[in-house]
Amino acid sequence: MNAGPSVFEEKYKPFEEPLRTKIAKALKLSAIKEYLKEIWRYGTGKIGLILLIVLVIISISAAITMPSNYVNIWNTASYWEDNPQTVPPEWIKYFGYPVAPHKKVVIPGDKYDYTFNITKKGYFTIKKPIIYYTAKYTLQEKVFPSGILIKIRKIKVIDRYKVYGIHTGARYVMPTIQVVITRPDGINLTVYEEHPQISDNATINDELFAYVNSYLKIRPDLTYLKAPMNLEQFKAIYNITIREEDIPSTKIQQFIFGKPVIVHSNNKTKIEYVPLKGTYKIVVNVIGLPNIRINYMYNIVGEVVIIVKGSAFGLMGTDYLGRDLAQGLYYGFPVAMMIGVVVALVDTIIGVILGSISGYFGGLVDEVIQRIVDIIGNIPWLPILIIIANISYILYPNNPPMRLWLIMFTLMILGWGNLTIVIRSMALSIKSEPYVEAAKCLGAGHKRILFRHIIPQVIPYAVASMVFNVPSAILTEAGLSIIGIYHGMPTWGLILSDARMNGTIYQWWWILPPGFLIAITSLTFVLLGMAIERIVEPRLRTR
Amino acid sequence: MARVSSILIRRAIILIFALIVIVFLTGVIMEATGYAENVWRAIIDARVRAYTSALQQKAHGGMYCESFGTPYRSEVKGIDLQLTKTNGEYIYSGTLAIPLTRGSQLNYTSSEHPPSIPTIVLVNPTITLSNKRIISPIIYVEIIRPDGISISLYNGTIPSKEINITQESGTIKLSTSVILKANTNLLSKNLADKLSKKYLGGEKVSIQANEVKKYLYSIPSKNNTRIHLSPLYGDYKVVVHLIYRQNIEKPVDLIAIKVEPPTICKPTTQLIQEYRERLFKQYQLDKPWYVRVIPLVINTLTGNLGETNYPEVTNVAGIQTPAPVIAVILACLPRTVVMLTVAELVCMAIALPLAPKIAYHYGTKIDRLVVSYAALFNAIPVWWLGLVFIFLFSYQLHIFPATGRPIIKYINTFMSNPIGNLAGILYHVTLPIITIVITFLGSWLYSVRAVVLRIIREDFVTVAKAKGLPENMIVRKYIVRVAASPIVTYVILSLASSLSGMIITESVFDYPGMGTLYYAAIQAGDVPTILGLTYVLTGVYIIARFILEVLYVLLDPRVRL
Repeated sequence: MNAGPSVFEEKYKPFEEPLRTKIAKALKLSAIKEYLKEIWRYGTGKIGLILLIVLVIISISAAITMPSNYVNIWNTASYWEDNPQTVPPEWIKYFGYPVAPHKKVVIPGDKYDYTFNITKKGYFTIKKPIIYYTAKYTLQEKVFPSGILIKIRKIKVIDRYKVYGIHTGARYVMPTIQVVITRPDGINLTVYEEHPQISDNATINDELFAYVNSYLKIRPDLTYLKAPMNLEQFKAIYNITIREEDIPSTKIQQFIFGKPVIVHSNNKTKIEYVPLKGTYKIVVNVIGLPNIRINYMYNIVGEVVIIVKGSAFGLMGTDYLGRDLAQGLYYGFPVAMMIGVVVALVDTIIGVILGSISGYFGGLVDEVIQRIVDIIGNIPWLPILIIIANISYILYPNNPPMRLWLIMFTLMILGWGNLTIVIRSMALSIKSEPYVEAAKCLGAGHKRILFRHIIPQVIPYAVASMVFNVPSAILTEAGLSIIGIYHGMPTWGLILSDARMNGTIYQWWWILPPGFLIAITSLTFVLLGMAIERIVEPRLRTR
Repeated sequence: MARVSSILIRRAIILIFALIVIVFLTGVIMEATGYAENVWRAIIDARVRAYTSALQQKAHGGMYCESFGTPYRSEVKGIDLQLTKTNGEYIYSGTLAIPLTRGSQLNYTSSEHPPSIPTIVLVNPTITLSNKRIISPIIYVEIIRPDGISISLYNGTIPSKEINITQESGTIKLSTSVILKANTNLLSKNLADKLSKKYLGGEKVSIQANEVKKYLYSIPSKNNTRIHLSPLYGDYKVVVHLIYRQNIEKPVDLIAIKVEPPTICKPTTQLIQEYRERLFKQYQLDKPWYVRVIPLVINTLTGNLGETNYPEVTNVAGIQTPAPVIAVILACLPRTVVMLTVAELVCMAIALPLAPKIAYHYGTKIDRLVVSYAALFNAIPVWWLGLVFIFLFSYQLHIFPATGRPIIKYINTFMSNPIGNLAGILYHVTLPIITIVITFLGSWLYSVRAVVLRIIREDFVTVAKAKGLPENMIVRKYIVRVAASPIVTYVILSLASSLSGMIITESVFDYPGMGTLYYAAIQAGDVPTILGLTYVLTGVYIIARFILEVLYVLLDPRVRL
């Protein structure tokens, strides 16, 4: 006989749920789905859910891409020096505001032009060796860029003793660096001309030449600009005599990128500058020692970075250190969400468990829990929080995340009181329901009654309360930053606090976005909470 | 009724218990974590630094000599001298006192120096001459110690080298002052005699010239073979006798004595160490934290809030240091009332009449508008709105001031110019009030609306509607009465918590209210003020809660069962 699986067996094979369904059941996905559908029915819920999804996506992507040492990067001023300081976002140009573009040109050391004047004396030497690196910058609108920064790395240091056989004077000599800006009107401004001193962090060994490791940073200032050579050219072209005091020392870029205009005001004549449109050529000349051998000029610098800082930058502008606010705000998302959600979640869990225990057991347990709630409910919690924040400096002076955790921990401790009272009163009424009595009669233990009959009943309320509580933790954390209590993590509150200390209303891109983001995040949860509240409290339904 | 009062008493006890625990916990948090200690250590370090730099300016060669008090000077006028005639001698005598007070705790060790031997100055004395020699006055100065021993300091005439004598004989009134220095040899012999007789049982002592000062002002006692000196405090009398052969109208214009105060010379390092130890004791850092916290908390709870010594804290109140904590709190309280409580009252005045009507017409456009408004401003932090408003209205449009500090002046001197000061107060509080009202109104409207909405769905309201009662009557009689209890809760708790100020918002508006005071106290580590504020504010809140309990009884008939 063929003993295959009989029809009978086939038919009565014990039913096996697919894994997908199992997981869904375990997580009560169908219930959650229903819940979400219900929320979706309300206008507020719809907006809230959409905003929540957006927030979660941004937070996750920011959390994944955030560099591990982001706290340090954010607080290192030199990391951000290439960016213009306190400038609005670039997109203001679409609203008709003139914008000077930001341009950063990185030229590798071997991409140079040269004017060599070679004389043949046994071996090739150069009379006046100049190699130069050029960048072009076009100003199309009537607005000044916010500055120029030129950085040169790996400058070759020449040992005069060995190269020339001279044994007097300074032994190590750097090449002369000269920065010349050729303006559209034909003026050649010499912005810098010097052979810079060898600083401490130069590595010099016994070779013929060595390299300076750090960047040589050139920011144009009055020292070179006031030279007669520069000023006479203005006289020749505009017929205006510019004295040293006519150059605005704090806004040097106006002189570099501007056309001088004589302004009469209050019986005084003053020279002001209007932006000069056109293409500027910025040339970095590296001039070697005269009569140097040709091979010494190769790779005389490692890298030249020419930055013309624009009058606008990036997506969200920059702050007073040139930090890209878009980046700071972006990485603020996961921190804010984490603070809000974790604190609210923990508070809710504590509130639900203690509330139902308090209501279910009654007696001494109830009394103790309610007295603790009394105490927590009457504590002036913000001052206590500030004290704790101060204490966190003592306990963890060099550990910003730990300080943040301590603040969050305090928020958790102070936050569960109100929910406990509500849950207790609910548990009190559920306790006397007939099905709980029945369960007791069937021999169900306290644990089973609590977790099977009471807590599931109060969960919807707990969820509503949790969603409502998320914003308060975020707002509190941001508020602490505003009054100068930092945990060190770059958050929206910190950016706002910086703006308050160092900004003005004209820097709207600095003051408004962090507040908006805080408000939007809070709003998301407020809207969701309102929708959920209407589900769990049908009497609030207005439709 | 008995049941009601027992419930109320129980609630009162519970609330007071909560208050005590909260104050205690606050104290424990500050002391146990080392927060207070840390702040105090920083203060001690700062004070020691200041002390050290002050010391180093005065010290010589690493030693600093500190004198107790200023140089002592006492005078008696010539006409006040007493004249006694004996054996044809005219004795003019004046008594001067040197008080050596207990304030200077001296031990007369090698580094401590007693007061100097008094120097006597005679201003413009009259002398009689004969053959170019001074024959009178004969000056006899004795010092009478508090224990009755009298020792002669000076015995002789005016030293003639101090004056130029041109006249042969007769009386001359000199126009110089003559300084008489004690004869140390005479003094030491005299002193040794008398002290040994009185205190050492006649045993001989030899007093070195440099020790005379010490013996003069102290009681010797024999300890083994060494003589121990302990200071003798009290009034030392210096009696100056001027003895003439004839009656002189005015023997002298003025007799004065000068005594240099006692000094202690110590190495500066030792002084700094002592100063630090003294401060440690003053701040009780030598004791464990639980010893420090208990008296602190008990003092606070019994209403003895203590004093604050921190200028940062008293500056907020506009008072000088040191100030009693209660005075500082009372100075800041009216400012917070003027701003925050008024703002809450404005919210209340708008929300209480408006919200029931909105709830009555739920689902309409106005209702949805109010709900959206509430949702939006529940999400916007009030301090951020404040920041934006300050930048807009203060810095840009210059309508309102950017700081609330001048309010101190207006409130403190309110009665001197009530109208002008009221205008000043209004000018400074308007922007904060507008900001707070805009933000808080949303949650006021929403909360009151939610309470009323629940009642509107009740059957009795539907019945009233069905009966065709007018809307106003339904709202007034059927809804507000029932809603009164939760609404009163909301009102009273809002008003009570408004007294505690808003730390962040007040900081943004630079407004010297309770929140700023609290914050300043926390930043300064001013434990008495923090505890005092916690006590007072929690107390106010708890009283409000208790008033609510009473009101529940009055408002809700069900409680009265």
